[in-house]
Amino acid sequence: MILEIKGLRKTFDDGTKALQGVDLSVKLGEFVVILGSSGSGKTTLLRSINGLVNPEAGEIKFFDRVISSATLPDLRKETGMVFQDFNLVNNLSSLNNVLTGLLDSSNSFMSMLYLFSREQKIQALKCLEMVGLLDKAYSRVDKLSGGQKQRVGIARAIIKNPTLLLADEPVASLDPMISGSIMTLLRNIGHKIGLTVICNLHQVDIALKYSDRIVGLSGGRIVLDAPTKDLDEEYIRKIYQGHGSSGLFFNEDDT
Amino acid sequence: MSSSNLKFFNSLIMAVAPGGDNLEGLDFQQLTSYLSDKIGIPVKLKYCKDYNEAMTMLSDGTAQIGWLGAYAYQKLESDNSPVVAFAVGVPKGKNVPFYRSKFIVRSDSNIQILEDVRNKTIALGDVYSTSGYEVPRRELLEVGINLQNEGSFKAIINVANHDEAIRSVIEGTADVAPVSSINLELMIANRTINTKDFRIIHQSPNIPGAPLVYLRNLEPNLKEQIKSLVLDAHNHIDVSGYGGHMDRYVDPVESHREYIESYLRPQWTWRTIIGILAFIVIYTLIAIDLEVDIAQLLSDSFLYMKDILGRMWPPDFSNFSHLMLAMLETVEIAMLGTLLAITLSIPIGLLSARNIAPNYPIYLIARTITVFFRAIPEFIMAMILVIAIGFGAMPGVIALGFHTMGFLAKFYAESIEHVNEEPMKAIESMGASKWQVIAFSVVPQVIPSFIGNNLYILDRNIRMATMLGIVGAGGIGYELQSSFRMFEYPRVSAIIIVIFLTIFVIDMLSSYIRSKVL
Repeated sequence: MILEIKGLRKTFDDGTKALQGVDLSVKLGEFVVILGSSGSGKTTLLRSINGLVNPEAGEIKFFDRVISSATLPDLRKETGMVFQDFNLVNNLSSLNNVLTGLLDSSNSFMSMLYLFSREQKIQALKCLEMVGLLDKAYSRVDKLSGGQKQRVGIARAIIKNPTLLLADEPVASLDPMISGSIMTLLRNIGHKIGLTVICNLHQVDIALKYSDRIVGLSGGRIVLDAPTKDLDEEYIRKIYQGHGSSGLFFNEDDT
Repeated sequence: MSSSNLKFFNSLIMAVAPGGDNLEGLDFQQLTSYLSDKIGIPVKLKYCKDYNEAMTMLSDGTAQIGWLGAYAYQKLESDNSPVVAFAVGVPKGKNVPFYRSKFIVRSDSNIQILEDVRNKTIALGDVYSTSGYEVPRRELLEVGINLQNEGSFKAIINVANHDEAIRSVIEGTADVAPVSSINLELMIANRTINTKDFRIIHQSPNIPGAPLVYLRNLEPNLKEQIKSLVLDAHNHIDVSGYGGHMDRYVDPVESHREYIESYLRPQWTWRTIIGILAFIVIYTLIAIDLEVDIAQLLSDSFLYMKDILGRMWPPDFSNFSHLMLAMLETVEIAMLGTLLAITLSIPIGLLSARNIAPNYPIYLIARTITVFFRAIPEFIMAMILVIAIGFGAMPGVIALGFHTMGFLAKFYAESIEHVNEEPMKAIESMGASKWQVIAFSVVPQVIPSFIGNNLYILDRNIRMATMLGIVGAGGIGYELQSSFRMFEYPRVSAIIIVIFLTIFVIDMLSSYIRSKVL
């Protein structure tokens, strides 16, 4: 198990109960989709994993080591994160954006002058090649399309050679067709470099198409956890109706 | 499968998958005869009907060498693949074992960018073609066109190979076709087509050429022998392979490393470095011209500074109430001047915003007015006004008002020019008049910067108003000037402290207002 979560709870200062006892285990190399509408707690769950949110109860084990403030830096070296709104530095080139993923292991003085070693740059170029953007290495990212920006985001997330990739709604800002190519890329890269991917989504069809396993979240609780091959839209819809949760994106054809 | 050894083979078999892109250009005859010759056992070619057959022959060890076409790299990426790539061909006239998929249109076509391809007639290779289908599919997806959806195009013409695709565009049966750069360049070189007849509207990233592979568990010496023979073959024979004649074969790992390295560029471009050097040179020259001597500044001037500061200490607050009144007068001058500036700036600012000005001459006049008043320092304006209307607060108010109007109107105009015009259009479309549009879409958008700019100008005017007294335009500046003239340095320091505290308080106030309003 790469990740074992037990009894995770989080209540925000405003009283929102984001997580109400979540148990989840993730196997090495799995592509897990956490499915839920906004407010289901999936972002809080993802952020607890890499310490952006401090849960009040429960524990998270990463390779049998309990995550604490002492082990967090090590965990962060092993995780990459992909964001809904890409979170790239718009005025920088794709290459420099990808290189920001290596800042924690760079000489701090040289990196202040934007100077990186030859090996680091080759590593960044290889990541850009992997996402199909080598030709755009020196383009400013604000000149790129949304899909290309997310590709840069993925290249930045994988440059550290992480074992775990956390993707928070990676395709929510993209149109359906480009979403497909980004999800394919995430899955292929996952397989290629043996990456475990945990991906938050609210679109049922995308979850069914690209994941190995779907974990459904509603009101901060897990309501579904099954291999994707055993699931279909109808089943997921039924489960969510039972929990009175709306905001999931079902395919229009089936409604 | 047990480790294979040369002595167990009386012949080697090379399994060749069909070349999706270019069937006629798949020629390994010379290469295999050369290998037979050098290794001393026959190397036979087996052309397979599809990729799977070739892969099966390699997996069960029937074939030892192979060419798997475009699928090879996909297959080779997994670690437990039974085969490894050992050589990749560099097409004749090229330096790298890569090619691209290029979208071509006729020279007179109105298609300019990839997006324009929608609803046109496109010529496509079969679905197994890398540069004629798979890569174009991905490129089109980037611009939101789905190749698998027939509705994206007026018509799809299926072509057998790249040459046919190129001809169909030039002859006009298709509007656009994605084709392999290898074939395109070959046809240009053969003069089958003329570069004047077509345009390239888009090209894909580099596509790696399909490599030659051999079995991973082949005897190491044999692997080494095959590899070095193939990489050296171009020195002895005319090598060919997928896509026709080859310049040479290269090591795929090596060539990929070189390819990545070809993208290395210095982090600092020459332009930036020259810019920084120019900056240093210019400022050095300025320092030399102005005889800036830091050593002297630090030694001599430091002593004088110490002397004057010593004489200013302790500050003399004996006429404190008088000072406060003068300070109050300064603040009043600044406030009145700012109000005058705001009043003047609203109409002039509106008229000097390009999107609001009714016509160009009015815009130009308004802009000229702002530039004119910005150009005359308030000091000079105040000096003239003191002569014209006498000592007192009014020359200061008018000088500040008009000078800062030049700034404010410019600031207003700029923020008006940067408003989002879409809400304006929406309100306009519902029948609002021009002034109603301004009131309901421009004003709410510029209010934050309006308040911010006004606060900045007020702040600035208070600082400037303290100085205006020096030319006789009232306020604390006058006190400062006379104390200086009388060499009453303790009073000077008292005045400076009062000015400092006032500006400090005003600054706190304005940031408080800012945080509440903006």
